[in-house]
Amino acid sequence: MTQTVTGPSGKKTTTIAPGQTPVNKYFKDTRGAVKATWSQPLGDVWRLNLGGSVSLEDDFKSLGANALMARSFNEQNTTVSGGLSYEYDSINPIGGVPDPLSVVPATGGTSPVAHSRTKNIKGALIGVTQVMNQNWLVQMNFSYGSSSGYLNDYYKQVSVIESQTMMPMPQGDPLYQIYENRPSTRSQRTIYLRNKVYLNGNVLDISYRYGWDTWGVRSNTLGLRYRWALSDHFFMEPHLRYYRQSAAYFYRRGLLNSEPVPEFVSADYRLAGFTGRTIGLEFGTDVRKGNWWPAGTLTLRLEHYTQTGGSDPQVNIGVQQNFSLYPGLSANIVQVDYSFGF
Amino acid sequence: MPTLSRSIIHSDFERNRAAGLELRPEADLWRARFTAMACPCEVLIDTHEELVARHAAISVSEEAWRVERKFSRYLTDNIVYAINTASGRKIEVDNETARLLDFGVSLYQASNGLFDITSGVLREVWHFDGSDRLPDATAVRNVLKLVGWQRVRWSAPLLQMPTGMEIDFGGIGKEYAVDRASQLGSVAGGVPLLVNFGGDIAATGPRTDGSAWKVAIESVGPNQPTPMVELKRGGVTTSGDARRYLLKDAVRYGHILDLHTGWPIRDAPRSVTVLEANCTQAGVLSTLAILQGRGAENFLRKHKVTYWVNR
Repeated sequence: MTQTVTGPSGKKTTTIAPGQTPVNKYFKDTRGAVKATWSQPLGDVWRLNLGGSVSLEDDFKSLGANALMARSFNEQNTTVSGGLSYEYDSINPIGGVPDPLSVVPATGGTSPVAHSRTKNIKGALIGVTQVMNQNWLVQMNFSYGSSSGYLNDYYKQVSVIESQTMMPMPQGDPLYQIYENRPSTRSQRTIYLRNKVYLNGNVLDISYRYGWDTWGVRSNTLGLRYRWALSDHFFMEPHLRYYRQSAAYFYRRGLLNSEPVPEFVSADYRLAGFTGRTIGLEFGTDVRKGNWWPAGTLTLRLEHYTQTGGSDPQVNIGVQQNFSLYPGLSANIVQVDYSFGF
Repeated sequence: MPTLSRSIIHSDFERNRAAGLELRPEADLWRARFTAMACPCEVLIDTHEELVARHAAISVSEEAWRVERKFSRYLTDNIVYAINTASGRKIEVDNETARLLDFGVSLYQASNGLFDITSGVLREVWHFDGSDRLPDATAVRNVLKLVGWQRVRWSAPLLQMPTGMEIDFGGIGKEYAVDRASQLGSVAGGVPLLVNFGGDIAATGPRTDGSAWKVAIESVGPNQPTPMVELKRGGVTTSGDARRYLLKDAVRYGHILDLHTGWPIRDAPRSVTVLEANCTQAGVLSTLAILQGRGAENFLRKHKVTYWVNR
């Protein structure tokens, strides 16, 4: 038996053997982005930051602007900041915007309901940074974000699964795909706490973030970094990150063909309940100015990420029990950075 | 054998016999014959007991006739007729019909639209009678506008189709009937059996002495030896029909149509026989293989199935 998954562009079909993760061979995207920020002190205690961004992709255009005001008190030991941001996105899927919840058509059959859709994202942030003593800094933020408009991912589809025995397809077999559908609004709130402690030239950085939103996704992030200065010009920084989120209320790994199609459903793994763990190590060294390069800092970052979860017991029936539906994933990341001032 | 009084089996058997069911003993099995879905049907029942054979035969023939009554497009009092004459109205369908429609949708997606249960209307312009009467290209284009599952709104249990479109379970109904009837018959009789509805075959298990059922494949070609399949459990189907074609200017037009163009698939094999885990799976693969035209053998090799192709 085979499962089949149609490609995001709607032009090709890929056949995936059971147990394999479907990856689209025909996926192609080009992205160009510009981001600018400007920071201006206003007198001794005020500072204004302004930013703007433009991002252009084949099927996605985005314009954004943000402003942040900060004021310091207590001889610069306390900083209070507040900011607003706005982003406007235009989404133009190749082949048009699909009809939510409709059966994904085969090649040649198209059923777009529009050429494009838009969404906008408004954000607000207030924060306090407090110097507790000469070796200890505390930062607290609260942010609010509200998205509205077309929040579907038009590349995402949901499998409909055979629910019964004695039917042509074995129970548990994916039959076909429908387009996902998400609510058209989402508001998210986040609380962020960070402690930076200086210990004999080394830096311990502990952070915690709690987020919750109207889609039912609640997340906890715990971060730990220790910047260890091995000499004046060389440092090593191990870090750990733990992330856990609950699933959106409309997340489903798949739908059974015996149940009515819900108003909202998505199988996007980013909306599933899962736990992510990162362990990493960063090395950095100062580089003196050379003939061909400016003075700066060279860093090498090594990371290992594992993710588990995403289960949906409702679709774990019949032949599905022969496969691991939630095999988890892991990734190794190597990154080299060179940063310099000019 | 499940407990059931002899008199009930007797009266059920008489009723089915009146509808055309025949049952005869052979050397080491009982063979039942009847006609359903416009083709000859047989059941080989691995037993010496007539009562067991009767019970199994009744279950098989009744299920075959039930599926035929429910899903035949030639009848005017079933769900298919209600759907095809709805003229754009929404029709609520029962659970079994919904599951068969879902199966049809899965084949539509898996075949990239080459298999489509709405393609039956093409019969209005194509008559594969061995003559040279090709249809008019405009007529084909016009009928093709009425083909395409993407035009159907399907959200179980409601189906809504534009006026003029039709659905037809012909491509999947017989295999479904074979799988269901063989399972029901085997349970009813408590013995292994083999069901053959017009060349679509399923065996429910090896014979009681452990041996395999022997199935001949007639369609390989006139001058070649007939291959023999040893079938213990699973399904065998043959798609294609060497007798249904048109011949014009020395070009042979087979009856398998490319739904993207409305014209016959080029270089399609005359027939493809596939052995698989059950009759439906075999039917899906033999049908999809023919739709690949010249690529039929590649398609079958890729799916790692046992097959015979007649070109």
